[in-house]
Amino acid sequence: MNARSLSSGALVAGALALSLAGCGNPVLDVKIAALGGEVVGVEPSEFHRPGQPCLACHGVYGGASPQMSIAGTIFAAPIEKLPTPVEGVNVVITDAFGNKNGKGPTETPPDRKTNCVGNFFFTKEDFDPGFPLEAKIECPTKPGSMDTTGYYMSSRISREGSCGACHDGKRDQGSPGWVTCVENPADSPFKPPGQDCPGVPQ
Amino acid sequence: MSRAALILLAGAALAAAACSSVDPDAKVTVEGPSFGTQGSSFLPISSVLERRCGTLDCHGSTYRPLKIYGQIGLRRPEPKGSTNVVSYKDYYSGGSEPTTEAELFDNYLSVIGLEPEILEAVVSKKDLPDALTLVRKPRLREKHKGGLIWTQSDPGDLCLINWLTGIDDTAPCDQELSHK
Repeated sequence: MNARSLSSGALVAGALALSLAGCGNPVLDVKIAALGGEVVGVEPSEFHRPGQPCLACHGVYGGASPQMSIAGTIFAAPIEKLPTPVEGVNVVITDAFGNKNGKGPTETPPDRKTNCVGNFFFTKEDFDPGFPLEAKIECPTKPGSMDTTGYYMSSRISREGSCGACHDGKRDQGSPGWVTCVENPADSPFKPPGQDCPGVPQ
Repeated sequence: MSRAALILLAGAALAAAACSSVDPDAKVTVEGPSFGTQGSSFLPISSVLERRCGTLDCHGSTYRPLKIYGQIGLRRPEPKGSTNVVSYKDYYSGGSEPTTEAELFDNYLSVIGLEPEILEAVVSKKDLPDALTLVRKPRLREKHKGGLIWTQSDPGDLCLINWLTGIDDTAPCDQELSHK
């Protein structure tokens, strides 16, 4: 191998190395790593990681199955630490074409309710919405009640499918805080989930 | 002249150009569209930009160009006790403290700072509004991560164009804001 072919070979190898390194997204990698490991005693399932940005992993980049389009967690009241989740909140997402929860504008949207850790999600197969989106939550007035109070999100969702990407922790100048059903923690009728909830460490 | 000598000459010319005649204090004054007294002229336009562009997942992100502050999105960083804020406990994203005048002015700076020379040409009617990336992106006439926001002559588009071209008609802004 002469000097010219050696340097060409080195260039090709360097380009290959760069292209391989370029496949990752360091910003998302850091975000995913910052989510930490699973809680001991809670298996990965629809009951794990309440409050976290689900699509960080269950999105196109993260690649975890199932691939989700919209997902999040609804809590009882705004407090700084991870609050009490609310089960049975119905989430209604309307997309730019008027589709609701994956059904056409003139059809009745199916319910999409939160589980015992407050989590809900739509897979891409359920609903692949056109942004921007309108979000509404219908909170039971008390645990297990069929009576609900509805709240619309004050802004549209422009492109982010994870509630937890913006609604993260306490309210501050960069976040509206957790998505909650009650404004004042003292008014909350909701209790923490029991041991029968798979999201509670066993 | 040999190839090496040519490269050397070009390098020397570049180095000379890089080191000469740049005045670090130089300022260029350009005429922008009106901000108005306490932001009165820009308020309707900012309200539309806050609603349609400034959500936390788009231009309300601290990492994105054309940063937009506002009541329903990212708030301008303010320490407790800041005179820019009336009720600090309500000064959070989605809180009841309305968009402040300081946020309004920062939004104005975001908009006019994108392409100031072209903006001046548009304001002085030497160029058409669609020379601005600010106009082309929401129309998706230029690649836009947020996709199509409005098409030409939609209320949001007219709101922006009227302001840029000095037409004192904010009715399209109200119409845009009346959408759900």
